[in-house]
Amino acid sequence: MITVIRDSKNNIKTFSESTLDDYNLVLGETKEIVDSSFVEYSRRFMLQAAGVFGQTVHAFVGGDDVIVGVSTSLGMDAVDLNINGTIERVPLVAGMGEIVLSTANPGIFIITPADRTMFCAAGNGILSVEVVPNGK
Amino acid sequence: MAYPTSSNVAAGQPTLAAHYNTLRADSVYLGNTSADSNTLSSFLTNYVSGLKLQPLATNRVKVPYVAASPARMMIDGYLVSASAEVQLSAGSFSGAAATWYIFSVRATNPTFTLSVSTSSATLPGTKLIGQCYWDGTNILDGSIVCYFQNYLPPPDYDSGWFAVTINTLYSFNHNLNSLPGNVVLLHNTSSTGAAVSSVVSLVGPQATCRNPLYYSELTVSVNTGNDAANGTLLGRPSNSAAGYYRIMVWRTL
Repeated sequence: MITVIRDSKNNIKTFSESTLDDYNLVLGETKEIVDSSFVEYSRRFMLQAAGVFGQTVHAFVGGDDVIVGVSTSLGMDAVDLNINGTIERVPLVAGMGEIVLSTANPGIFIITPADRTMFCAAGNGILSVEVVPNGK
Repeated sequence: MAYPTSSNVAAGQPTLAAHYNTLRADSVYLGNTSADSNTLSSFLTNYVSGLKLQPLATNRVKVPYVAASPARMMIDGYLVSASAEVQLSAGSFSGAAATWYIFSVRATNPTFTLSVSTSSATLPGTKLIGQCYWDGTNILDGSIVCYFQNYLPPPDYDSGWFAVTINTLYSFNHNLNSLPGNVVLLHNTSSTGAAVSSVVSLVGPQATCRNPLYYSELTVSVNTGNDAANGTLLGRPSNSAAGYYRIMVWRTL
């Protein structure tokens, strides 16, 4: 059993391997118990780049494009990603898909699931890709 | 109760059964009855003091000797103590990688020696006192554990791992009812815990980094940074705006 916390908009805020009996809910938050393991639940939605999960990925301007992999254990044909506020549908094969991020300009890409009521945009469900000027 | 319950007898005075039984109760049960007290021997079965295990070159372990506080213990009902450094014999480890268990073995003088086995079963005249890991070639020095040595205890409060993102408050009740003596915030990139953990001390933005951790007598909270690259971890090896946190809290008396 794991515990899921939803915010006032019903988005999944976090999930924990503990029962979170000790968690302080803030206004509008709710708690639910889910029959899953912590690792299984985390695999509902995962983002990675070059095999890196859960940490910021850096790329240089003008360097190779960054390939971001998305995977879900829910058996879906496609999943919508939120990339800096823009929704992009990514087709999935065997639960896995990819998007390519350009390194033409400096900046940061923040990638999360578009549907945060279904997927958690925390843990391995969010990925930041920072494109920095060469030599920074 | 008053102790001892036995009293001196005068020279020439016959020793009565009551004298003997009172004296026996004093020596075995500290003056109490068998119904109300363990025997001293059974009470002290697990008695150990001053015991440490340390690595000894090459592929050996030792119990160091400190004259003011020598290792003392009860082994199989016998009270023994070290009178010098106690060393495991050379060549005691062999075979495939495995956890080996360390035993003290009662000797006659009255002290003890050391032995090891891949079985944790205790034989007559021995006491299980620790373990270490043999990788097939060497003992890993850091794996030497003495069951009777003081280590950092498990935390009094442990949040368990939970998923985090930037610019978000996570608050928990540790309920110690006193200010914690130590609080550690860990970050891990993997839900399996297989990745390297970092101790979180700062989160971004890099130009105005902050410590995200704070606590009171009842609660412990983290407020992640509002930075898309470093909001959950601003570290030298890596940065993160995602991942998993775990909060561990220890009390002080």
